[in-house]
Amino acid sequence: MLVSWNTILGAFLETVQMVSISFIFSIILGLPLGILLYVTRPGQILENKAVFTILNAVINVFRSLPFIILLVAIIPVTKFIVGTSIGTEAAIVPMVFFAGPYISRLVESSLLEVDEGVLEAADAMGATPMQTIIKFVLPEALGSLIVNFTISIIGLVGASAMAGTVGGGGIGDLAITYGYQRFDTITMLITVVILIIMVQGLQSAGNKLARVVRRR
Amino acid sequence: MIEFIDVDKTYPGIEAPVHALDNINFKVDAGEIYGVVGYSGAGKSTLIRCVNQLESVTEGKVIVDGKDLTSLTPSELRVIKKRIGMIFQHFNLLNSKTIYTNVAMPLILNKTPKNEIKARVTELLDFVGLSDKASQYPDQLSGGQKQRVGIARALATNPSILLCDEATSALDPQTTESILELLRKINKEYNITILLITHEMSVIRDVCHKVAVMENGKIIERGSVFDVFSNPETETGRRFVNTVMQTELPNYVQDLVQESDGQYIYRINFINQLAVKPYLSQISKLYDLNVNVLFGNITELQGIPFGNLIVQFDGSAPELEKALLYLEENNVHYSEVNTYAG
Repeated sequence: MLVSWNTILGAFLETVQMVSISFIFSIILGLPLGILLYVTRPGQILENKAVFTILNAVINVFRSLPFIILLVAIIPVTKFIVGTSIGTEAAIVPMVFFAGPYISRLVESSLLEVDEGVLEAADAMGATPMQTIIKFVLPEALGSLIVNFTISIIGLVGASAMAGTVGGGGIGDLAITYGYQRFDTITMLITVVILIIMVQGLQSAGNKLARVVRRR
Repeated sequence: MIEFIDVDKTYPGIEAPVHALDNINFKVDAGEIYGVVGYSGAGKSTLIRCVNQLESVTEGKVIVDGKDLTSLTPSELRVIKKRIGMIFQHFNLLNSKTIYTNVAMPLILNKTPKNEIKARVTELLDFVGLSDKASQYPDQLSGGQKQRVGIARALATNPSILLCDEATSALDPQTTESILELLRKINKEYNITILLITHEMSVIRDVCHKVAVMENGKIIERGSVFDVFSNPETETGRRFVNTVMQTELPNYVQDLVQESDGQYIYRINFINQLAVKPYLSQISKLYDLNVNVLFGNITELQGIPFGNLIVQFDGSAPELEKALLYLEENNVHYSEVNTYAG
């Protein structure tokens, strides 16, 4: 093994840092966009064809790009936002641009699962559009949202592996630079095991939380 | 209380526009329980949704409490909606919230102080008989209990109108009976006007004061429940009445009628205590007539016995005339049975 356990621990922490920070920003970006997609869709409470069509198209554009392409394609934007195009911070920006639109799509589909009858009840009670979303739609969709957020965070763990391309570091970077480029099989195995444990842990935590929310 | 004036509603259809409501004119007075009955697709669901503007109308006016809803802004409408409670076929409760929060929801939307909400919700849950379920969730309740929660929620803001959209259609007959009982209680105790739609004539029979029959987006018949049940004017009306009480002559009676050339065959409707008074035996005692009961049944309409008898009088015309006069004097409704039309 060409790397010390300390290096592995450091890489693990970098991954955790990249994934958690980008996840938080992705939700800050994706959740409101997903709600906006939902409410402006034809037949919905704030139907607005122009907003829906434009938003839909923009999200599709980001969703069409594989992460590795997005990573390099938006380097000027990254530079503008965090002042550098290399390092962990520089990896977080494309990760947010990758996961944000993805989350907005998942949020939209979670909200669409909410029973029409609940919306009808909200309307009959004279709820404002804001109250309809906050008091009715979001609580009813919460279980499904958690399941979808779990999918997104796991997607981010995957994306973080490519962050090495811009010098972002992390477990994935370790696997490529040592495990692959320097034929260090042990390091490769260790990184694979760490990634598997991370993904498994996130998935079970997500499932558990969703179950608690859905009380089933 | 609720008035529809020349209301039309069309949806853009795939081939041709769908005319869901066609020139609807009707009025529900304060304190009434008004039922609209019709087969699925008749437009009754659209009709009830126009009352609280869940659906907008294409043409015409919907007047609630003296206000024309079609001329109001969304925020003015929201104020009106809070005075109209609504319950649904599939209850439409929030599965993520407790029974308490479900019932409290309209008050939460109004930003009512917490202690007032608590008092009101406790009172409402007590009224619908679910005081012990406050901390449970909808999926732990039976259908009838869920509808009781729906009713408590609809009453939270002290509405003057309650709309019931096929409220008992997803329930078994026994549960239906208990929910209808509750609706009667609401109407009586809180003096809330109730408009309900249903495809079950038994619901109309059991709770409504007035009824309208809908078909193809039109109201084809309406009147007091007693009038429509005793004398339905349309084919659809007759079919609905026949689902709960047989008014049409069975074949064997029709054959009898034809054999006897339809002489002196009458339909006699008794209501109230009249249904149990022995008018017919009195007739045969007082006049020179034999009374032959061909067919009959007694149904309960809103707790009042309603008798429907087909009888044949055997005797002379002058005696018959006297007998009919006797029935009239005693306020017994009768009509000659049209022989060949049945």
